[in-house]
Amino acid sequence: MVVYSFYIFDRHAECIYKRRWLPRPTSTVGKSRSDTTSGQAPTGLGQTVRSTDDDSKLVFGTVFSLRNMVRKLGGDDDNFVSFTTSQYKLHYYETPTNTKFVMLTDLKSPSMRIALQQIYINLFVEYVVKNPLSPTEHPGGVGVNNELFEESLEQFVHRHGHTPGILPGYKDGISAIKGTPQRSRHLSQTPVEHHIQSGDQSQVQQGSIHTAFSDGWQHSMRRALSPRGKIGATVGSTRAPGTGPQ
Amino acid sequence: MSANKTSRIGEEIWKSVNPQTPIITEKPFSIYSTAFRPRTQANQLFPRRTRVDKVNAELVTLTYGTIVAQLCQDYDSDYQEVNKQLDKMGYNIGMRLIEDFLAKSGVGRCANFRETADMIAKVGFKIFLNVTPTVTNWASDNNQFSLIFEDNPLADFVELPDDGRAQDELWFSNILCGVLRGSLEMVQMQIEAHFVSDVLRGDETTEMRVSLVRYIEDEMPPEEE
Repeated sequence: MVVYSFYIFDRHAECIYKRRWLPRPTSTVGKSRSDTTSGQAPTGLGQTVRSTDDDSKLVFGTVFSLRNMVRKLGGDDDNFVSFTTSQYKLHYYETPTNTKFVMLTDLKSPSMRIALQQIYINLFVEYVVKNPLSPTEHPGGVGVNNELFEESLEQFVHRHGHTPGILPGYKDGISAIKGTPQRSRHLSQTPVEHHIQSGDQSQVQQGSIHTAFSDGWQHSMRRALSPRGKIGATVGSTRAPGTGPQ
Repeated sequence: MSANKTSRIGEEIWKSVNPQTPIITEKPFSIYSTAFRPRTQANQLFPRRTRVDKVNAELVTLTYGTIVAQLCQDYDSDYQEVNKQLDKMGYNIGMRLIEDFLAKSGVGRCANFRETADMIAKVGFKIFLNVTPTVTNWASDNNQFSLIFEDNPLADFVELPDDGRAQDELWFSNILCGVLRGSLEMVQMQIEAHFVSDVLRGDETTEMRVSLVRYIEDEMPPEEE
């Protein structure tokens, strides 16, 4: 199983933590992007410069809209669990305080809902919320800056048998990053992979949600429903499954 | 009078919330922060799940008493101001406490304000202070209720200063109002809470009045330029 990225949004719709995994030196990169041909280089035409900031806004817009739609149809207690595109699976967990946890994994991954809940209960609450000196709110995108939390998150992901990976949408970034001795770990404050170009047109069509979200939900939805990128959402009750320990 | 009151805190409730949780006894410490918790490899991943933290009841009482006394000194016995500060402190505590509450209890959103009131009294206060105030005096629109505290661990051993004003102005346990305000705000409820009587002032009961102001709407991300 491959995990691509992880986001936390607070109740003010602010992204307070984001983390994108890069492949480890001897990693399973090939597996996660088997369709990649090595000859493709950035063409310089039609490129969109996209940073992790843009990504988090995109992800937020998507889950926010999807959540609202699901609630409209399924009642206030309903919530979506995950959605799947042809390239990745987005897992979602929301607490009653409106903190949203989002994780992107590959398609083979089972439901990460419980894992996200564990991250909330055992890592976020313990290390971030209860740290008396850390602020309760994170205005201005300062975000969670907590070593214990980051380390534990890393361990948690590995413990669950996940290998860090990179989405095909970022493949152009890989060649730039692959050569460097950097390990998979990048703190959210220092996103090294900041301006990654998302590649040529054919690439853009493969994943389903690629354009900036300012286009609105309809746009990404249309894109999502287009024959090239299919979307399937799993919807379930918000009533949390057991919160028991491992 | 309450030698091991808080030493019981939460125990029953944890057992009932999560019967699988093995109760492993460890040294009692830390009511709130993780700062004093030994950070071994093992409890770094699942630091809290396997045990119940306990703390000596007198320590809580004395700590809280010291805070109030210090505030009274700092604000030159301006008790209105002390009430305000206590409320503010409670607000900040509540905003964090609610996350701990949700993480531990695993409860979802309440369907209405009546359910919320019961949750506060029977689960919230039970977990954190091991008291169960009575919910009563509902307003006809179901948006206002009173909590009657028969037992208030914060106020054990306390006598209000005999300066003729504290009896009328100081709400000793005002921090609790703030805690409720902070924690309910995090779950999208704006409330107003204040004490209306306190046994410390010679009243029959200790009563807190809680009223729902409004439900807070979801916040939208700021529009992009």
